[in-house]
Amino acid sequence: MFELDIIADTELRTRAIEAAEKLFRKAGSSAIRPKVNGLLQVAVNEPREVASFANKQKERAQSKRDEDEAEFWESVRILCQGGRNAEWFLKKARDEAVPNQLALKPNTPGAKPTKEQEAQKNLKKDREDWEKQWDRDHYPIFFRYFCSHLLYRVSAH
Amino acid sequence: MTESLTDLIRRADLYLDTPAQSERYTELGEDFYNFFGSDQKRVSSQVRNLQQIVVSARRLGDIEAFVKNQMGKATGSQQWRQIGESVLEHLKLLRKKADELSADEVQRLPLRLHLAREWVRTVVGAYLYAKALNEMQKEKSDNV
Repeated sequence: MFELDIIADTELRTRAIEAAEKLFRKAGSSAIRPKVNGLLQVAVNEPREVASFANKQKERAQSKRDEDEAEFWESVRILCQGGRNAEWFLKKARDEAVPNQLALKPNTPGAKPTKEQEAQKNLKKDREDWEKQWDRDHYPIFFRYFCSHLLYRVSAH
Repeated sequence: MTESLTDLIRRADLYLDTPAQSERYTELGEDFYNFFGSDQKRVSSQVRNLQQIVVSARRLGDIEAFVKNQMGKATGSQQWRQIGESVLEHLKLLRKKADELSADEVQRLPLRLHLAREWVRTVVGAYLYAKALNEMQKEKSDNV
């Protein structure tokens, strides 16, 4: 946990504040508070659903022709999954943090099952578990810092 | 050679004890009293909440997030909006001090927390003193 605390109090905090600084003007275009609180709740309870939550919010904003808000939620999705040449996003941070022993080798198509392939299958399962845990640990912290900075800036703005 | 955490904490304490810092923390504690007052002669719940979060936080970022959340609330955040910027500035300086004291993040994390916990002790101490002074003055004027 100590390692997580260090990452949280350095990189995640800095990235969250940077992202909120870029986005708070777009977030302030309508009654954003309950939605931001909703975002935090999803990040805490179902971190793997944040991107799809943001996508749904984007579609709703588009249907109301609120371009600023749609842009805001698209940016939240990008913070999770990347896109538009994003320099940093959570999936990228996770991929960079994968321990060497969980690195996957590319599959050989059409090859018969071997012991090595079986080991690779187990490795894939371990990798998925590790990724789930990483998301459970990091998403709530990142979005807590992001949402608090965002609401603080919206209220000051 | 890197300094031990114990030595760094000693240096952090020396920094916190300098007259310039003590004066700043005392002023902030008095501001807390001016903005939040007391809850029917008891310590303001806002001050207690701040102290509680500082004591229990695992990271300085959590304390900053607490202050920002208080400032960002739709209702009832007027006092926090008035004093919050100043609190965030204090926290920023504590973070900067920890960065100056050590280049090692493993040491910086507990250093930041130590600085914040000692800081809040002084701030709340000043708040309590301002509260007591105010109550004594009020009792005096009530007796006249």
